[in-house]
Amino acid sequence: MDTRQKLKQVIVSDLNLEEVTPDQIADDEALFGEGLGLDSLDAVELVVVVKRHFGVEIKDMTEGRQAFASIDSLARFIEERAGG
Amino acid sequence: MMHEARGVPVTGIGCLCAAGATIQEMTRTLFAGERRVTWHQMGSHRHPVFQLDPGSTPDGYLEGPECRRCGRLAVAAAGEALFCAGLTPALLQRRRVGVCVGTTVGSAMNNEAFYREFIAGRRPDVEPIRQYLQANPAAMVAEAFGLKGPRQTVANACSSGSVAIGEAASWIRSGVCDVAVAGGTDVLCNVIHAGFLSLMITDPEPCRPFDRDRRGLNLGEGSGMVVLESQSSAAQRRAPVLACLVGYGNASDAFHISSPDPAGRGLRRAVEQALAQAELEPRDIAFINAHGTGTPENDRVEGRLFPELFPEVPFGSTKGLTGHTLGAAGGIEAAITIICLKEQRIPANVGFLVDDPEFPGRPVRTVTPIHGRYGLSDSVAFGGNNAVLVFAGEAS
Amino acid sequence: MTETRLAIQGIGVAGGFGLGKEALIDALRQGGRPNGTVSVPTAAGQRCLPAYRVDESPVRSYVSGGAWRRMNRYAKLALLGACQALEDAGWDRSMPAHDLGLVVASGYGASQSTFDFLDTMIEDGGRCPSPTQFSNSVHSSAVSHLGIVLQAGGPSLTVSQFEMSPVSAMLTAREWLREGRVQRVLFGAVDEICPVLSYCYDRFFGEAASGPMDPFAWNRQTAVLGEGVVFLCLTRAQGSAAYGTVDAVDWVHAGEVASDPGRGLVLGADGQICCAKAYCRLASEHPSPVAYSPVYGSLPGGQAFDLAAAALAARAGIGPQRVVAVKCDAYDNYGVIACEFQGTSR
Repeated sequence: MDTRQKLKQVIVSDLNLEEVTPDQIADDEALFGEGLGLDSLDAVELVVVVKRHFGVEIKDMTEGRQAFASIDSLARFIEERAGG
Repeated sequence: MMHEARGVPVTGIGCLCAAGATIQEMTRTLFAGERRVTWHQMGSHRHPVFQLDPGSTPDGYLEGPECRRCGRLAVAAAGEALFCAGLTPALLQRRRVGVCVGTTVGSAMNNEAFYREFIAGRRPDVEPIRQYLQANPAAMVAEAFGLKGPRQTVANACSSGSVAIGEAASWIRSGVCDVAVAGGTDVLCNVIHAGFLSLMITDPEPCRPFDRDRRGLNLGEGSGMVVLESQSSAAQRRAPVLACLVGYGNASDAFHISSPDPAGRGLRRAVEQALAQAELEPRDIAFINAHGTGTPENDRVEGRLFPELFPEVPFGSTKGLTGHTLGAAGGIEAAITIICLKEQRIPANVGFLVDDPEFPGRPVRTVTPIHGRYGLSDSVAFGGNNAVLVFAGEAS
Repeated sequence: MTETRLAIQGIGVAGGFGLGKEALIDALRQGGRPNGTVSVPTAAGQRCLPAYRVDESPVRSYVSGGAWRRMNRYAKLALLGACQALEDAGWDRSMPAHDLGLVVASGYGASQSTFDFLDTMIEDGGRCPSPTQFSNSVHSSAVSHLGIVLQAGGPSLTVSQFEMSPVSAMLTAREWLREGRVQRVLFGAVDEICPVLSYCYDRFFGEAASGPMDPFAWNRQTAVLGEGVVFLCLTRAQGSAAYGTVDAVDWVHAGEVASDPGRGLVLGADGQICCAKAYCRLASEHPSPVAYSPVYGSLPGGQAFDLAAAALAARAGIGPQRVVAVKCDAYDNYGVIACEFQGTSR
């Protein structure tokens, strides 16, 4: 499964997003604010999600903020650090 | 003055925290601006915390089960407060004395060792549960001193100590009891620490309340308790009155389970309620002991609100010296507020170096004289509760 | 000082008897019994204990997706009771939300969420503790979620005093109304069963945890595990009172619990042998004490259930209108709540 697809699945499951399916999340959709509408608690939970499912650590929210812009940016961040 | 008739006398205060194991010691440390930071290893990192000095904690504190430590600290602080108030066992026996204590760890069943055994299927002994059932902080204080009035352990997260004092004052006003021992208590705990780390709101260095570059809170532990007494009970035994609680506000953000309302609407309402009850205007407030945890979000709310509501009123956080003691914070900071009223000066906001351009004002950088009789202390809780206390210093 | 009387304007309940006032009245008429079981590990393998369980799924209709997805079960139970009580009182969103106080009494608190957080601390080598689970693990999480869903910006307080939580919380509710801090209070008690609690029942009580509950068996342990929620909508008693009034709230320690033969005595006895002696003495001093715990089980919030049950029993003509509800703990503390309920003439 590619990184983007897996990301969408674990975001929906681990953040308990009932009203959207992984297929409905566009790769370039904003995760925070507009778009998926995640908030600050989701952001820190996403740090845990990324660590748990991809083994990649996000050290602080400055790093996180850039990575979390969209599925694309997060997938790139993960792939760079996972060496994949 | 009219409100004094409705104010509830404070006849005793007691406190122990990293800044000191007694009121006297804490007063010295506060005004010296002396930070006592301990570095606690969790996983692969060290984290700054504000831990009690092992040499000055209550007997047996370090040996007993963790869940009873909250109550033990509360008993120690209550003991100092009752002694300060001159309330001997004989005097206490003749009075109806309520106990209202705020806590987070003291109401949590989070014994990690027990739970690891349980989920591993090893059917652990239930002695830790039995100990937990004996560890309710309000019950421990009441039992320690043989107190016969109502008991309440307040579990409002970080505003618990302030709420406990405000609620106990209501008990006194309505005659539920003649005396109340009220405040908060909390201990450092790995499970709670892991929780705050997961929220990414801790500072890897000693905290910097209101500083432009603040990164988060440091946890602390301790207990702060006050003795509230009815005017007739205090007058009858000619008790020393240290201060009067003249206003209490309690209001909720109803915004988010872990972040404060950026507009500070709940805090504003709590401030307004406390001032209204005290029949005071903002200009009557001589100083503010802010919640000031050092997190970007909390300090942004207060750093904008206080200069707006209280222009020119000096404010500062003392958490640079105590850490964030969660349920104990409101109790410890009530004691600090009363000390400041007596000393007519407030400590520097330790940890603050650089102005945050978002704030119209800045906290006090040095020990600052105050002019006036009224001090305000606020506590902002995880989950959105806001509690505000206004104290009047004794008339000179 | 004149006692401040409170009016009960709405009731919301869920427990082993089912959901809602009618289910509780039916159970009062027919007698209560556990409606479910829990499974606990014993030395001899898994054991099934009877339990009074709640199906909280109906609460979904009260909450939108955004607020729902983070809500722990403890908060869902609270919301289930609170929303029913608000509907029953006719308190809708048009009433000023800042004028509503929230007081919740809970002995067990958010224990399940605490263990869920511990799970995330223990799994994955301890590298992935969940901030969401941590946020839900505090005792005040039910009040926080309630406040957000109801947009209630008034005062809030969570009491953790084991079985004395309801009477302690009722003191707060009364003070807020007496002072005029708010005009309305949502007062509730909520307790949730979790696997650790079930395990403790087996270890502490052994065979006795199988019940059946017999609150008047003074020399035996007969408590059966219960969970549930009760909410009461309260105002000062200055006008109409849909269900009647709370006339007095007292905490008595090691002293006389004045027995009033003019009032029905509702004992909070729930089969816990540690409190039996105190209840036995009270029962002996009264002609016809009742205990409603077999309808809802043994849980710290029991006294709140007693108030709801007594109010509904009076209304249904199967219980007295003037009542005193007494809850004891094992340390000579008594929570005494005196009420006068509306009868069937309404």
